[in-house]
Parts: sequence; structure tokens; C-alpha cells
Amino acid sequence: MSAGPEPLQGAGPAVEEPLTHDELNALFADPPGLWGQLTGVQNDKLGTRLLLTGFFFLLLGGSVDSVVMRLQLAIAENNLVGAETYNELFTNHGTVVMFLVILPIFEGFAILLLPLILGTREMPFPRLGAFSYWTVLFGGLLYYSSTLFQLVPDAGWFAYTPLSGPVYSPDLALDFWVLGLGVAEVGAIAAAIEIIIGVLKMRAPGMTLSRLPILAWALLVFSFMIVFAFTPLIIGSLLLELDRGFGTQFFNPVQGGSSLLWQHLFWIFGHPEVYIQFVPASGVVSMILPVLMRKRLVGYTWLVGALVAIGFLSFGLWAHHMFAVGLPPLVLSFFAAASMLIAVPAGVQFVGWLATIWAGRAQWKTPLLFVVGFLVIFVIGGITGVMVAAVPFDLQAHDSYFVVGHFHYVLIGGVAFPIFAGVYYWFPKFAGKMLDERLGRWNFWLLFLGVNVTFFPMHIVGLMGMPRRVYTYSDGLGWGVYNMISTIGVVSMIVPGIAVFIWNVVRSLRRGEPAGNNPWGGDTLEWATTSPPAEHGWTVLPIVRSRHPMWDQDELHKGDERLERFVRAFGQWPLRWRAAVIVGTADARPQEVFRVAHPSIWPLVAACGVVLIFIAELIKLRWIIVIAVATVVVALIGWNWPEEPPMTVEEEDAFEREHGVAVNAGGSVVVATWGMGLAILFAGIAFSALLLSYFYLRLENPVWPPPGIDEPGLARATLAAVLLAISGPTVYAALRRVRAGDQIGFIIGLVAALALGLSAFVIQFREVLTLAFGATTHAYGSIFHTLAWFVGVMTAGGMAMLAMSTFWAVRGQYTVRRHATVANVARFWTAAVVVWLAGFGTLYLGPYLT
Amino acid sequence: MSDQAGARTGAEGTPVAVDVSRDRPARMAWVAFLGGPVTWIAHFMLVYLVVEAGCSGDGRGLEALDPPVPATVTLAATAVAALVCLAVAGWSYRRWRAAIEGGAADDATDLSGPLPDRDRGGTMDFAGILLALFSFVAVLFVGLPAFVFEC
Repeated sequence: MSAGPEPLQGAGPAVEEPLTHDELNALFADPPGLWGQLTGVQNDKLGTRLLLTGFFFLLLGGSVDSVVMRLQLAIAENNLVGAETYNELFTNHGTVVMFLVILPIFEGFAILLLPLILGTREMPFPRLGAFSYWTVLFGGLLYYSSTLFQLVPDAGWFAYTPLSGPVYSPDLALDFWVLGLGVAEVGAIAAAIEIIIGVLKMRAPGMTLSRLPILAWALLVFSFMIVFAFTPLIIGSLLLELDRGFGTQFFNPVQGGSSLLWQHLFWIFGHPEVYIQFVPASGVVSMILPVLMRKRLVGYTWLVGALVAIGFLSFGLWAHHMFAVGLPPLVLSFFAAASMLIAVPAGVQFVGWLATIWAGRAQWKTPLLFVVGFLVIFVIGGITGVMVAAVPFDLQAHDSYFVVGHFHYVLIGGVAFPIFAGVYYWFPKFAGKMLDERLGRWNFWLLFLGVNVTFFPMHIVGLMGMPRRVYTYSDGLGWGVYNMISTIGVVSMIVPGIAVFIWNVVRSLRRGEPAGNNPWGGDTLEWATTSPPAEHGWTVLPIVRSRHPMWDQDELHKGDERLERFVRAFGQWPLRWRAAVIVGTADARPQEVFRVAHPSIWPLVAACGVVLIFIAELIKLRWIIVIAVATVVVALIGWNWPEEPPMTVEEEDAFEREHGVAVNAGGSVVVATWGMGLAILFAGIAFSALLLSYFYLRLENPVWPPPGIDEPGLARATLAAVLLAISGPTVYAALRRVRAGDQIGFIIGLVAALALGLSAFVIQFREVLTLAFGATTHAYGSIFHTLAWFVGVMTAGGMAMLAMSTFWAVRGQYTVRRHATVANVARFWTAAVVVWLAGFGTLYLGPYLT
Repeated sequence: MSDQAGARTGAEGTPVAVDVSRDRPARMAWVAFLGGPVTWIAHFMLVYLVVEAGCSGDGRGLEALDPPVPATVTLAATAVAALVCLAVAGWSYRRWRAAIEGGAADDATDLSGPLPDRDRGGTMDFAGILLALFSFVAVLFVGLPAFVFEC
């Protein structure tokens, strides 16, 4: 094996482009014009949009706000802005950067890059990707629209209760925060599901997990973290909005609620969020470093392990933001231990990167400059992070500027610098032009010096006692000089540095040097394609036989003889529909050829429906919610409306007989199954967050239920639970009938399951609606009704699926061969039954047991 | 790719033919890979919830968790979780040895052709060893303060 190519230009094997290239290119392209923009699902388009939207919000909230804040703090007792405006500025700055900048940027990177890097033609759910984009955009705009009404949120990016509750923030400002970000969070989770399945199931044949580019590993961990972290936040936001808009008592201590419940729900998202941003950034670094050091990444396996370890450990850190709230010492020790432990996998990554640098030969291009800048700045932020993980030190530094300095070193060094590195590195692939090196160096040095000049003095002034989130300070405290230095750093270096970057992008798009296919001599698959790539990316799929295919393989389409025949046949066929390949998760053997979704207006309609739900709540015109929900339902039905498969079963079988790979022209079985699995995971996490909220509130209330409320009666709940429990196996019995070719038995089974579910629902919710206590009586009533209705909504969703399945079954849609949808409905229904039994079991038995 | 072209779909119906849930080697590879960190997070959540309930909670039914129960449960759970991590590490080690000696589930040897591939085989298992050993240390690091604090 070679150690990698010497020249920077044109290295690596060529990719085959047979005559079908243009035909496939047209097949995978979105329609032209405005309609194409609204219905488009092509991954390059969506990825680029997400990136640009993230940068747009960065300029809006990340940059403008911070400059004004620094100007305000430059001198003591300044009155450029008042306290109220300053509160709005730091709230907006944190919120925008944490929710609307870095996430869309990395999800944009993922959707843009993954199909090329993994050697596949598209992402698994192109329409879900489009839905994700629209919801992120609409959520961000909804949040930002608060400025039009002078109702800018001002309770910090963490929105602590009771400050964010109905008593202390009675106007709609916090509703913009909760609801606008809620929409964006839905989009973030949708994209995460898309990325998970993309990485695990849509790769080039032969790209085993051992050969997976490390960025794909990072994006996989990143996406799972989003699903696990954002879901509790959505539940927390739901509870906060219920308190604010419906008078529930979740966070009102007077009525059995708890302010700390919000902190738990927020930080179980909020701390992983930091690593959600760092993990993909470290993946970008691990991609660039080996190429520009001309050295294979040292310790690939160790770095994969480190990414996974960070993913898990980051969920054991949340209470280190709550060291000062009075948690039991043993609990503090748990979280302090986990906070220190996470430095170990981060350290492993550093050792791997430093060893790669040590063994390599640097090509000092701009991406490498940013990577080295990342290493220097992030290690400082990491070390101060270990300092604040120690409880005694944290109690001193808590809420001081030391912490502000710490996390800006982490987020700018650990995240922003890799983003710049990634843009300089992959820009040529998608623009077909190189970014200017001279401007790149100016960009780097201005930002590198600017970050240190701006944020290093904050550590000192923080240790001197300057608290964060103050709009001014008294003269004579000795803080002025440090604040002035910080302001000079922002104004004279960081702002010009970003301006140089923007100029470089604009200039290079117009007059940049042509890039060629592989300007850096890269080792991964994206560098085999043209710059910019075709709409479908790959005509003949590559066969991966190495972790560094562009360095190690003489030909990209050589391999096992049968596999070669498959990829060549797949390059010629089918040309009437958008075909992509699913591979085995671990062994990367082709499993299925399926049709990826084509452009559609329904994702946009669904996103409009979702944002309308939130707007209706925001303006308190709740009847609109009915219209909005109907819009979403119609959109989902249109989105998933079965289409005539573009080929017959016989044609599918003919291909399978010849190549040994199943064909599902009607839609993927594997992708749908994974999608349903992740949807169930999402619902399960949300349910768990509510269940934990129940138990947390129970702990806060020695008397449960509160005086005046009786323990709930068990008779009807038991009957409903039994009926629902029977309905679970009934659906599987129906599934067995369709597999046996018994259509009548199949339909009877579906109808029976639906009837059992409906009976259970009516019995249970008649009781819930007639309970003696309401959702606003006490925190007990709030959590009882919220948990019950969560279970109810999930069950209703399951019944809707069963009803649709029955409708299509009666119309003869399902056959022995094509009934995967029903199998997924059965999975969801099983999950709904389990959630019902656990949820109502807790609500009805909990008060008797504790 | 199926060894019996076309056989599985025809015989078992579409959902079964390509259902990864039947891919036992792949599932085992994931279990060995993630066994350590899953044990860590399960241990962490268990001890946190027990200590939060025993040390912060009050009222009917919670007397059973009064001190010294939280520390005792923490230490017992720590011992069990540490042993599980070691077991996963040992299992991953055996899988890794088998992989580098004879090929493994993530190996895809028949797809590789003649190209020598030093990254072949056992990567997931080796990462599983690393993660399980790290989880072992992490479980102890989290749990051992229960020797010092009762609550």
C-alpha cells in the first residue's frame, strides 16, 4: 500500500461514467424554477441550504449581538444599551448559536457530504430532509419574528423558571422562544433520523464499519445524541408552554411543581448539546488532518471508540450546570466524576491527532491552519473545563466570566474553527473553485489572534469576580482594561476575519481557481467524483476495499466478480426510477435496491402545518390548531400515498435472480423499518422524559396525591389495559394471515385490533375527562393529565395507522410480497401498547405504591 | 448478497428477506461494541435515581430508600456493573482474536478481492474492548465516592 499520494492535484483512481450518466443525472435532479425550489429534495440542494441558513443566523445572532455586547462592556458604566436590551442580546446570542447556527451547519455538512463520502446516490428519506430544512428555517424565522413585535426573549438561552414562567415573563416573548425553537427542534430530530439511516444503511458495497470514514462515525454519534438530547428538551418546552399558556403547575413550587425539574430537563439536553457540536467538528478534523499531513490517521479504532465514549458520557454531565443548586453530595460526586472522565476520550482524540501530525508532513493549506488553530484553542477550553468540573472550584467560578471564557474557547476553538476548516476543504468539491489561499491565511490569523485576544482576558476578569450577564460594572473594580482588550479583539480582529471569509467565498465563486476532482489528494470517495458532482453522485457505485480507497485502490469498481457485475448492472438499470442501494449494517453487502422518494410539495406543506400549530398557540387562537393538525395529517397522507411501483414483481424477481439482491421498486423495506424503529425510539425517549418528570415531582411532594385528591380508581383503567394488551397480539395475528395469503383473515385481524384499541381508548379517556381534578389544580394533576394525553395521542396515532392499513387492505394493496407497511404499523402499535401499560400503570398504581 | 439468488424473497415475503433484525452476527457485533458504555449509562442512571430518591425524596414508600440504602445500592450496582464491563471486555477480546485469526462479521473478505487491507477485521471488537475497559474505570470512578458519602 502506498502512504498516500505525493502531489496535491489529481490523485487517485478514476470513476467510471457510462452513457447512462446524463439520464441518471436528470432523474435525480429537482424540477427547475420556483416549483423546484419548493418541492426540491436533492441532497446537495438541501445540504447547501442548511449550511447557508446556519451562516445567515450566525451573522444575525452570533455576530451582531456579540459586537453590541462587547461595545457595551468596553468601558465601565457605559450606557450604549440598557439592562433590558442587554438581557435580550445575551439571550438571543446564546439561543441562536446553540439552536440555529451550529446544528443546521453540521446537518447541512452531513446531508451534503454523506452520499458522496459513503458512495451512494441519495439520502434515505429525501422528503424528510426537505421537511427538516423547512422546519429549521421556519422555526428560526418564527423565533426571530419576536423582534418585529418588540417581544425579544430575555431570560437567557436556558430560560430558567420561574423567570421564564407566566408570573415573571407574562408577555409573549418567552413563547416566541419556546415555540420558535420547538419547530426548529423538530427539524433537527428529523434530519438526525435521516443521517442515522444514511450512515448505517446506505453505503458503497464493501464499506464495512471498519472502513467507514471517521466523519461518518462522528455524524452517526452526533445524530443519535440529537435524538436522545433534543427529545427531553421538547418535553421540557411542552411543559413550560403548558405552564405559560394553560395554567398547569409543573414549575410552580407553591402548587407542588419544581423549578429544578426545568433545569434537569433543560440540561439533559443542554450539556450533550455542547458535545453534539463538538463530535462532528472532531470528525471534520479527523478527515482533514490525514490528507494534509500525508499520513493515515493514527489510532482510527481508538478515535472511533472515543467518539462513542463521548456520546455516552455526555449524558452523565448535565447536573454539573447545577452544582450550586443544593443537590446531595453523592449526586454531585457522580456528575463531577463523569465531567472529569469525559476528558479521557477527548484526550485520546488529541493523542491520535498529534501522532498523525508527528508522523506526517504538513501541507500548510488553509484547512490545516484552522485544524491546528482548533487544537491549540480547544485544548485550553478543555483544560478549563476540567477545572470547572471540580465542585469546589466551580462554586467559586460559577456564573463568572471565567465560565464565559471557558465555553467560548470550547465552542469557537472546538467547533467554529473546524467548520471553517471544513468549508475551505470541501468548498472546491461543490463549487468547482478553490477558495483563495492568501485570503484564507488572513481569515485564519485574524480569527486565531482575535479569539485569544477577546476571550483569554475573560478568564482573568472572571477570577477577579466579574459576574456574567451584567450589562455594566462599576469603575474602580479593575475590570475595565480586560473588558477593553476583549472588545478590541472582537472589533479589530474577529469581525474583519469573518468579513474576509465572506469576501473570499464571494470572490472565489466568481473568480476562483478551478478545483479539479481531487485538489487536496484526498483519500475518501468524494474526491473521485467531479467538482461539482452530478445530481446522483454515482453512476457506477464504487466497491470499497480499503479505509482509504483513493490512496489504496487502483480501481474503484473492482472487487468480487459477482459484486462487480451488480454495480455495473446497477449503473445501467433501472433508468426509469430513482434507484439506490441498501447494504448490510456491518458487512456492507448489498441487501436491497429501492426507490428513493422524488420531489414533492408535501414536506413543505407538512412543515407549514407544524409551524402553524405553534403559531396558533403563540397568538392564542387555538382553534387554528385544528386546521393546522388537519394540514399536517393531509400532508402526511399525501407524502406517503402509495404509488404504483414502476416495475412488476416479475421484473424485480428477474433482477434478484441474476444478482442476488432484493428489489423493492415500491419503496424500501429496510429504510422504512429503520425509520419506524427510530420513530419509536423518539416516542420512547419522550415518554421516558415524562415518566421521569412524574417521579421527580413525586419526590418533591411528600404527600402524593396532594390532600383533597383521592387515589385513582382501578376498575376502568384495568379493563382498558386488558383490551389494549389483547390488541397487540391481534395485529401480529393479522400480519401472519397476510403472509399466509389469507386476505380475509388479515382484514378481520386489523379490524379486531382497531376495535379493541378504540374500546380501550374510549373507556380510559371517558374516565380521564371526568376526573375530579384538572390539569391546573396541582402539579399532580398537571403531570397526570399530560402523561395520560401523551399516551392517548400516541395510541390515537397508532389507531390512525391501523385505520389506514385497513383501508388499503380492503383495496387489496397488500400482498404476500408487499406488506412491509403493515409490519411497521404492527411495530408501532406494539410500542403504543407498551407505553400505555407503563404510562397508565404509573399513573394508577404509583399513588398506591409510594 | 444472497447465496441463493432470489430464494429468500420468494420463500419468506419481502419484509423477511431483507430484515436486518435477523442478521445475528451484525447484532452481536453491536452488542460487543456498545456493551461497555451501555452498562455505564445504565449504572449511572440507576445510582443517580436511587440517590436522588433516597436523599431528596420524602413520603410514603420512600422510607425504604433512606440512608444508608443509597450508598449501599450504589456500591452494589457499581460492583455488578464493573463485572459486566469486564465480561464484555473479555468477550470482545475473544471475538477480536477470532476476527484477526479467521475473519469476522465486519470483515467482508469475499468483497475485498486481492487487495491487502491492514484495516480488515476486528475493528468493532477492538473498539469494544477499549470501550468496555474504559467503562469499567468510569463505573468505578462514578460509584466509589459512595464509600465516602452516605447521601
